[in-house]
Amino acid sequence: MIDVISPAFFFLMTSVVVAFLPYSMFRSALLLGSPVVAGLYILDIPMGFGGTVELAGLTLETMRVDKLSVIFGLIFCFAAFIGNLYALHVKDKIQQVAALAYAGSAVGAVFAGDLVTLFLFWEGTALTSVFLIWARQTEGAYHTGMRYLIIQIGSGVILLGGVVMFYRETGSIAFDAMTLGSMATWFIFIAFGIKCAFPLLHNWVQDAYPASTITGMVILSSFTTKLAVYALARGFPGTELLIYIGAIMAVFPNFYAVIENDLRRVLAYSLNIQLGFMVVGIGVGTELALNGVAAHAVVHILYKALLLMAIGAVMYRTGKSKATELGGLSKTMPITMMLSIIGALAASAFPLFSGFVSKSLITSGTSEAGHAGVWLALLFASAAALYHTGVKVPYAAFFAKDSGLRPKEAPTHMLWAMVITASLCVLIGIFPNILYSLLPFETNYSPYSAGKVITQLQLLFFAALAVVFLARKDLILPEVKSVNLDFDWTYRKLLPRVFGFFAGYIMRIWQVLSFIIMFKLKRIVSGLYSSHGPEGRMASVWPTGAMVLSIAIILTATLVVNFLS
Amino acid sequence: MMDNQKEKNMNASHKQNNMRFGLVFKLLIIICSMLFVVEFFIKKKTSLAIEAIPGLHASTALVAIFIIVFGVRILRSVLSLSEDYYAPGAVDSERYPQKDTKREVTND
Repeated sequence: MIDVISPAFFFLMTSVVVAFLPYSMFRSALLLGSPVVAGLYILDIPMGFGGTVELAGLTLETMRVDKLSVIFGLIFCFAAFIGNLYALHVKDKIQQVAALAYAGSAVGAVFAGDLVTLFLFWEGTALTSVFLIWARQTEGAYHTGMRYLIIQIGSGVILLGGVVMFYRETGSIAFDAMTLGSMATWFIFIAFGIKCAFPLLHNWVQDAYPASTITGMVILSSFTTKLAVYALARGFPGTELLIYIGAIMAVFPNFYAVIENDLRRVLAYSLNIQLGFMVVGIGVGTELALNGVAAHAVVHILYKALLLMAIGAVMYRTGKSKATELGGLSKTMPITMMLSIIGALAASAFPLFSGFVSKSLITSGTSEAGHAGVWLALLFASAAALYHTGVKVPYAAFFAKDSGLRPKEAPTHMLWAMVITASLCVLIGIFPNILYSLLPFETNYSPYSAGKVITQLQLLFFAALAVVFLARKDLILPEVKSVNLDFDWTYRKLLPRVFGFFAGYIMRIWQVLSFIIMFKLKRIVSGLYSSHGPEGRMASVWPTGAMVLSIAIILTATLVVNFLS
Repeated sequence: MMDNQKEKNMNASHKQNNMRFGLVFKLLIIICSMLFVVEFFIKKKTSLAIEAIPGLHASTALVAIFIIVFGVRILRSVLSLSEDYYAPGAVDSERYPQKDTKREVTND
């Protein structure tokens, strides 16, 4: 047992202080300092359980420190630091408080030793993150935020239901590996799946993230989905169903990522695809694959943040993020362009970049476990990622036909945030052992064998060749202004229409029934009035007798009922 | 007058891009050929039988891109709708608020 407090405390306390501070250097220092302090604190905590709290007769363990929670905790602290550095120009207190509390909730959740603590922080991430969407302050963002909140809170409610049932079944609230089978574990699994953007539960990512503020999306992309990956890795490692769910996640959104015009939404679909890789790794469940999951979560947070920061910088200078409205920005934003290319190379898993050293662990884990079909699906997704994330995103913004826009280079603090992240993408790519030493299981895996490097280069260069060939033949469709139908259509259009249709019918039936009932009631009342009213027969002839008769009838009825029962 | 000049500049830049595209294509053919040949001379550690097939990664990449590009041609006709389809409940047809941006331009 260790006597420690959760690192979430640093974030949550700072968010309270920031809420009362005016915009100043001190506030900025707090925003940058709290993730650093929390990160250093995590490095210093001994392994074990602790932070015991009594709540409603339950003993909660707010701290479970092991290598899995430490690696997620550290990358969350780093993501919070980078996100706050990138957003240093933002004066909106709501966004700053929300970002800190959101990061704190995510950090608290990965150290949760029991399901109740996990639930509390799980809901914390939902309630705090929505403000990063509403901070855009447009009608569309308001509606999108509401949808996001309903889905996130829904996930929490399902988790709570699962936890209650789990407690009734086992008498325990410990958050350890579970087996799918009972209603309780299914509820918990689905709750994790919603936040992990499982197929058909995924659209909140593509709906909400691009609707957030420029800096908000950088922060949003780091926490919620990776927290869900952590929860699945902790709760359901080796669950075979996850292999197939992950494979679908890795393949299907590629088509949407290619069609999509909004580059931030392209990256949201790309995020979904990379989550698929992680979910496959969790499903495989071997030490190699689970190391791959943790490594890819870290690496993905880095390169996705880098790409989002680059597109965010373009948006900050131009107000635009759609491929149809951008192009030719490499002339005036060369540093941002270079940094986005580093992000694209890492995302495409080029050797010497971070994506390669983490994806390689998952694909090797999958092939070693003998899942040939899924392994091929991951190859397919890797080739496709080169197209939409590696080529399309930087090309559309910086190299496509000149849009005529001549924006200034990104502000210094944004560039610093991108430079630090890009440096890590390269550093991890060249020296993978920096990352591997933090992984949950000991490993002597080396991604840099001739076979792995050559086959990966083959995959990427042949994919690039195909893209260039098809582009030269004008077979690649140009970007068009549009939105694309996805599963969210069911709850944004279909269900409201279905409810509207039935509501109309129910309303009419209610009106007819009300009319009939009112008509009957009026007749009864007017009948009584005519017999018992001041002018009524009973009143004029039997003033006392009518009352006595009524009481006699009621008493008789009472006696009969009493006798029968 | 200024607009014509600007359009000419943009077209010139587009032509330059097309030339670069051609160069990139030739370069890619050389690199891909080399990578394909090299695979026969290296020793691969494989776990699955299909991993040992020479050129598997290359062919998977080609097939994947062709499937996606041609799949997208079909899907776009089915899935794409106007930007204001979900308006006003979505941000797609909204302009990003000016207050959150600093739209500075260079002097050239």
